[in-house]
Amino acid sequence: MRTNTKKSILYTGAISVFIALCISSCSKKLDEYNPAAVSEETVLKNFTGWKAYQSNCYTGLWGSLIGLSYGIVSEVGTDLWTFPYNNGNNLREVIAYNGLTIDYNHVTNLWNFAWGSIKDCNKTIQLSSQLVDGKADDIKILVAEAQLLRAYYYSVLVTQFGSLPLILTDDPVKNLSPKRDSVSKIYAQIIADLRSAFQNLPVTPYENNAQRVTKKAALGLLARVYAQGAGEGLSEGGKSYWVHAKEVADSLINNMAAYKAALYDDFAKVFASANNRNNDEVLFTAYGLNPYDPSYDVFTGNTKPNLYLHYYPKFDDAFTTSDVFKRGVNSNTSNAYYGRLNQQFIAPTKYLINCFDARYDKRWENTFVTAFTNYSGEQAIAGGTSNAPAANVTYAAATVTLTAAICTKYGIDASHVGEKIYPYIDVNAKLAPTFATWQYIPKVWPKGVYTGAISALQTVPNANVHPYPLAADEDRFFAYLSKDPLTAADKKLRRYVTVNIDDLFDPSDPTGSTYKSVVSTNGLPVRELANLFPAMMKFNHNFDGGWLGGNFQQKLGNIMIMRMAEVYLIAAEATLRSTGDGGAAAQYLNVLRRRACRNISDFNATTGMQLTTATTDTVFDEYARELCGEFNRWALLKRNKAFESRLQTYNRTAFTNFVAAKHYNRPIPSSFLNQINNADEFGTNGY
Amino acid sequence: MAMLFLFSCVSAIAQSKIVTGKITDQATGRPIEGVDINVKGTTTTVVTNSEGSFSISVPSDQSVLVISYVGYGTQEITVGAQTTLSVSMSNSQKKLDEVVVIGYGTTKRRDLTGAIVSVKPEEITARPGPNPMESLQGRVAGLDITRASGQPGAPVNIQLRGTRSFTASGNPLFIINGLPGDYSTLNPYDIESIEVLKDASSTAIYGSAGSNGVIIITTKSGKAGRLSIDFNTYYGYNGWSITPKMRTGDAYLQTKRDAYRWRFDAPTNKWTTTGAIWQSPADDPTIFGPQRWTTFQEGNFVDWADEFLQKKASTQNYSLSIAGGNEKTKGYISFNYTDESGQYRGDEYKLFSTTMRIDHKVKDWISMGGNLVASYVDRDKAQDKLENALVTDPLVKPYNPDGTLNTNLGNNVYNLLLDYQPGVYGNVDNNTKIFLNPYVEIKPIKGLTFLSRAGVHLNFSNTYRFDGIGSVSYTYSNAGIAKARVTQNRYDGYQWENILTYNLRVANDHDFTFTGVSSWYHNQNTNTEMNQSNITSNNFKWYKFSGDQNTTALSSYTMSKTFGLLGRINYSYLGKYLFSASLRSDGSSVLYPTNRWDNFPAASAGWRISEESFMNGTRDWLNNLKLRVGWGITGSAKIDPYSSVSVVESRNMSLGGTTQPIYRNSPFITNPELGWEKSHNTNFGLDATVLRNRIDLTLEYYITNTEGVIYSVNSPVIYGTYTPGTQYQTNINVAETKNKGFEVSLNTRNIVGKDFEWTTSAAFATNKEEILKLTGATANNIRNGSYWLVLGQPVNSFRDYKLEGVWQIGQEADAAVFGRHPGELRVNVPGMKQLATGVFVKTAADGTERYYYTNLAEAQKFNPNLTAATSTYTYTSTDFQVLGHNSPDWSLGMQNVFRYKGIDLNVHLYFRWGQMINYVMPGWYQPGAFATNASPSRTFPEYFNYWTPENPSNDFPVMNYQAITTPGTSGLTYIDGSFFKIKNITLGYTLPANLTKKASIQRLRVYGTITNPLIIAKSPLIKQYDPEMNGSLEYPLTRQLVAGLNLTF
Repeated sequence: MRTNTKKSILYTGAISVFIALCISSCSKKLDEYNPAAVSEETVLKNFTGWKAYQSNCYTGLWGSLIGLSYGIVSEVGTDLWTFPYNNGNNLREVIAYNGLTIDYNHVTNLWNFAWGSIKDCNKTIQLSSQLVDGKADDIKILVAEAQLLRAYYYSVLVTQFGSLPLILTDDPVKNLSPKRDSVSKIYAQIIADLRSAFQNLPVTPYENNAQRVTKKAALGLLARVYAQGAGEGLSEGGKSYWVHAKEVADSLINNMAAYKAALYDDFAKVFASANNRNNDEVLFTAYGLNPYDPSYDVFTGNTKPNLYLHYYPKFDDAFTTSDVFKRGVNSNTSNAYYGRLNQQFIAPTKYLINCFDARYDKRWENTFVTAFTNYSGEQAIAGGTSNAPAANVTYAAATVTLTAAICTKYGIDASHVGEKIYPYIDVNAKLAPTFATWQYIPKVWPKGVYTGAISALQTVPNANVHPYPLAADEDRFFAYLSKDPLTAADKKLRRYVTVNIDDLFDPSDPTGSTYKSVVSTNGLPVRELANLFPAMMKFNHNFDGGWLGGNFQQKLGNIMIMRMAEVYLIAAEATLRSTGDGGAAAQYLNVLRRRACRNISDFNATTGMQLTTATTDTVFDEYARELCGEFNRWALLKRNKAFESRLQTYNRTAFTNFVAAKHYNRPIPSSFLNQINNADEFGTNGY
Repeated sequence: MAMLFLFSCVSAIAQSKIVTGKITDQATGRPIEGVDINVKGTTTTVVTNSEGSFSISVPSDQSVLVISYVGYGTQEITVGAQTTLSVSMSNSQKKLDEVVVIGYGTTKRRDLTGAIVSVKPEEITARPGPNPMESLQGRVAGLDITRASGQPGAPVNIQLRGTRSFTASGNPLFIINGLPGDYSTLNPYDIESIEVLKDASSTAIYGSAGSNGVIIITTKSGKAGRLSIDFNTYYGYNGWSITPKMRTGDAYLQTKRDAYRWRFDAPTNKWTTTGAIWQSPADDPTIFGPQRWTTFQEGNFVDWADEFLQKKASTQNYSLSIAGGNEKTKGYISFNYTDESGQYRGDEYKLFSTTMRIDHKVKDWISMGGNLVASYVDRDKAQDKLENALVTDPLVKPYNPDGTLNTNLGNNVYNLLLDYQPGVYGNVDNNTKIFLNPYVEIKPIKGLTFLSRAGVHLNFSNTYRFDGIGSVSYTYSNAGIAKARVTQNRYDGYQWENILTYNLRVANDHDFTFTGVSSWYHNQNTNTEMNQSNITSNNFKWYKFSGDQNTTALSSYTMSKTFGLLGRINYSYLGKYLFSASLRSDGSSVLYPTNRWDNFPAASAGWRISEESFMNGTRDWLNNLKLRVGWGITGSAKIDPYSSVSVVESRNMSLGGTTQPIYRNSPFITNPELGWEKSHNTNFGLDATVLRNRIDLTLEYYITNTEGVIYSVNSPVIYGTYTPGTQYQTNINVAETKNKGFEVSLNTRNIVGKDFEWTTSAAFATNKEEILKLTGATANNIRNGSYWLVLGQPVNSFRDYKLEGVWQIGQEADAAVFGRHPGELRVNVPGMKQLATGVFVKTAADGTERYYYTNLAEAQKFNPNLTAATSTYTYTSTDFQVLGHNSPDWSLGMQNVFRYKGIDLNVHLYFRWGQMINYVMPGWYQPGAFATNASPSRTFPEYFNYWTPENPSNDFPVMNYQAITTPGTSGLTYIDGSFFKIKNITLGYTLPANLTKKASIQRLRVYGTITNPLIIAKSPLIKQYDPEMNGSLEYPLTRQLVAGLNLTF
């Protein structure tokens, strides 16, 4: 028993020591090990790490802010755009102010995307003073970029939402009861940021990176912001913002070369495919993805923009897919020339169409597609890329032979039976690595060459632009929406489906905001042709590098946030608003009108292309011709307090529901209000 | 103890004699076969035969026979002068002396103070299938088990006593042979017992991981003195799923015509046939379009469900185990092979598993042992797209005239059969799991036990995916690019636990047990993923990654560590008054360094009333009555690693068409205060056994308040986003939930005859959840995945438009106020009151009233101050209301077992009631899908009753080619998912022992089982669908028909 007790004490003691050791050693080792991340202190204090952080300021641009949501919200609900037929009430909240609420997704997206990167700008600026290394010049430039971007994001927000919390630092503690700051305070901050950015930015982009902003962007935005703030009645140093806007615009116009800013001598060059990535006229761009570069796979933004397809009609609804419109039933969703056209949501108002004098102004066919064609894929077939199914179309398969039935159906004169309609476009199919997959690069079949041999193909600056006006003997397009009304005799000469654009509008709406319905009484040769309208093609990037392969809905091209032409328009607008001098204003507009002439000889007072004086309406018209679709119109009407008058005249559809008391600002999204503690105090902007 | 041992040895030298005897069941009088009879202190052991007889040589009259039988407890009988013994083993003995496994120890059922349910091996294997938990459905009151997918190897969902957490998983903690483990590939035949620990007084000793209950699984071990060989097998079929009958043929034509027969005329605000596109059957070609009309005339409708699902997919299982040993060493080894084919071709689940266990007594005071549970799964997964297939255009030709697959169905219709071509598609899981668990146990002095247990848990899961040339993905979504992906995930968990137990009896009436535990876990996950695109030949599958620009690789890593210390005291006075208290302190790496430790106390008490002298008068009918009460605090361990600290991530981004390395903030904002969710649970229990053990009843009532529920709060977007549209989050302990429930477990032996026996066991449970507190701010109604968090409502609540049917003809003026017209859905708007035809008033939360109308004059009758010409109301998400919740209100499982001689029949019924499901199928109801230009065209179930001007249905809105999706549509998918089903019926026959004995077979039973033979859903909106799938329809639950064999040598 004695030995037993001793043994027991020994065991018990050993166990106790063992347990004690275990407890003391284990309890200290509860630290996390995270090899996939680093701490802020280690990396953001030195220049390299900070610079790497600074790039986040750009994340919110391409694909996110400059995508579908802002693209639509910034343009529709104005005198330019309305519903096409069979839009299915889509976007009615912003096109027609019908049911616009705090839940509306596009406004919510706009809000989320615009705010998203402001914190990164704030933090970049904040950390810049604590860096332990780095060259002062580099730091200065990168801070200036952050200031410009912060100013841009705030300018979008204040324009759309009015007064907001002005957040300029990234604090660890987030105030869940945010207070709004006044519109004037926000504008003052934006201007301060832009001025500082202008001072410190270089003329050529930092590291020659085409996304990075430069002096000209700061100056351009400054002009735009002054004009927008002027609409709020603001002034600075005793001078109205209008005066400042004119001064800044003049400064940029007069010193274009010094800032490496430019205005193309020909409007066609602005949207030429070759100029998409490096566009001389661009002041500030949202740089798209390069499908041939490994950076394609590390895109950190939101989805790729699918803005263009909302501005196109659904061809298969209009023509079906069994006669003049080829490519089988899949045509509307995997068309290797047009892309995927299944969102027939936005059409131009009669006002916008009538803004263009297409006899002289080439901006018409460089903005709107009105002639529709089939495409072949002879290049793709020759290249052996038969597993890009959308491009697997022979020249013969893309050629239509007119039958009596077709002619009867579409009202084509019977004399054309047996004639052929050839494709205008031939696409190649080129494989971009990994996820971007196929590039469908278009070339053009010359008129009168029917060999189908790819050696005959021509490269054109912009394959979306078709010959204008379409000749009577044209045999490469199966349908045409004629801006100039064609007589029955004119139509008889043509082997393609011909519709006068005027005939697409419902005459019961004198403002020209209602398209006809697909009903047997619509007076069109085939009632389904009422699905058609001129298609705005500015964002339908159709070049090598502009396609997102298998996904026909999205395109990869750069989207301009601001270009030089706008500065001329701002100058004209500000001149009128500050001095009322119509003659001076006209001079700015003439610069744009001159390069828009299809023949330079048409630039004279007789054709009307050259102006001698300008009114506010002239400026509105010129903005429409030059910048329609380019994230601009809603802000323009807002700053000129012109919604009521212009909607009444040009867009009855939107005017019916427009309530000035609330629709001048967008609703504050419910998702945000749900996350703060003072939602009632913060308010919804009256929604 | 050593003295006792010595004494027995010495006495063994005395003269020996033979004792024979018979063991019978006290209640039935039937002999019990397989009872162990051991001469105490020796290795001499015999087993009773089928007549319950035995014969054993004992050393002397003083010898003590230890008679024991699994589940029947143990008796000791001193031989004395007898040479024949007749022993009846009693039932109350059986139940109350059962050893119950509790956390870090065992106890007898009579001494239990917590809410613990034990499940017997025969219940675990009652339903043939590879997943041991699936058999427990409806057997344990409060343990809700459902299976949403019929795919072989698909997991079950387990939730104990309702949902408490918002984001954390509700899975209970599984303890296998003492350490956390994975049950899913454990062979059900290897399981000795499953204990379900339901209340906090039982689970608080698992501290931060105990909130969702603890399920303790003990695998079988060898038994001294007997070699036992078990062989179990079954073979059968899965299949015969019910799937909704979709519209094809004439039903399809009818819907097409309905879609085109009417036209809504906006100026008159009326449905009219004037000018409608379909006027007579002559217009059929127009509404189909030329191509589809041709196909229709040919009668080419596809039954996609039929194309996809095999009727009979085989399932088979072979399980062999050998157990044996002697006084010093006991061993158990088993092998299991399961092969289940799915209903989709190429869907196959193969499981190879083994369990090995060895226990060895090195010396009297030290034993060692260990167990190994290992499995290998080889699983081929077909593309389970039944839901998509069902709604796919039926008017296409999936095959070309020559019998080959048609790759171009056109119009965005995917031919999902493409993946069935040989060599084009592969999706394989190879999972290896090893669970190794050695221990050493030392008993240095009487009453003191020290157990040290280490565990290694290794998982290697590899997935191989190939979408080759000609596959579905290649043809449709990957733009003609063949792709392969290999993912390799390695999990390693190290566990080490030390348990010190000291049992002390004072003055014979006071029984103390002290327990101290230290517990250390360290888990790591390493994941790698490789992708290859542009694969040029289907030969290569995933075997030829080129390492060039077409190859990408990713890796990631997470880890967590926890350390816990526990002390517990159990006290029993006279076996009548029972008391237990424990305290666990837990630390974890996932919490912020300054806030890592927390304490989890518990206490419970029991009173065995039936033992009191004042209860003497009731003994003849009341066999046992015990009252229990327990209280404790438990935690929830499911906080993601790295979510309590903010770090910067290193990434690349595209800037100006070039790659730019970036740092960005991690998605979580630091919260140094973050701690465990803590559940405060109080449990009241009552155990009663009455009428000579014929009725055995357990009642439980519990209240669980969970405080500091972790809610991941989105930082308002004005403070930035992690990536565009993705907000930063902070985990904070802000919410509070409450669960209340009542559970009844009832076992009755209704008829007990010599040849016939009928027993019933029922498990009934209710649970009521409620969110008491949310973020503490004004925010309420927060979307949480597919659910919403709403104050006063259960955690998994559905919130959407509450539908009031469809606007009917005659209600034009009312509908117009909401911008709607007849045929469109009518939404219930909270606070909206109708004053007159076409005049409504809505009272906001703050009491302000707003009028809605289209006719000003009518509205002015109620409010003369109105001036606006019209005021219409748009349905928005602010009109959302709570529609229901996904957790059931109550469930009831009931087993009836009938035995007649060797025949046994088991019928298992199951009710699950009050849950709402989000059923995918109504979401596919799209009027536009029948339009000529629909891209793609679709169909929907035949029984969906849609509105037309002639059919004033309130189920689905108007069928019209121009109709668009209007607000309210999203409310269609929320349906009452209550159901009753016969879960399974088993008929078995055990061959008479005298027949089998000749072949040295102890027991031979053959049986047949049918699973899911009958399903009845409460809602008329559910037809041809098993609501247990909880709304999903990718892989329907099967009916199963198997025949099996149990063989014991």
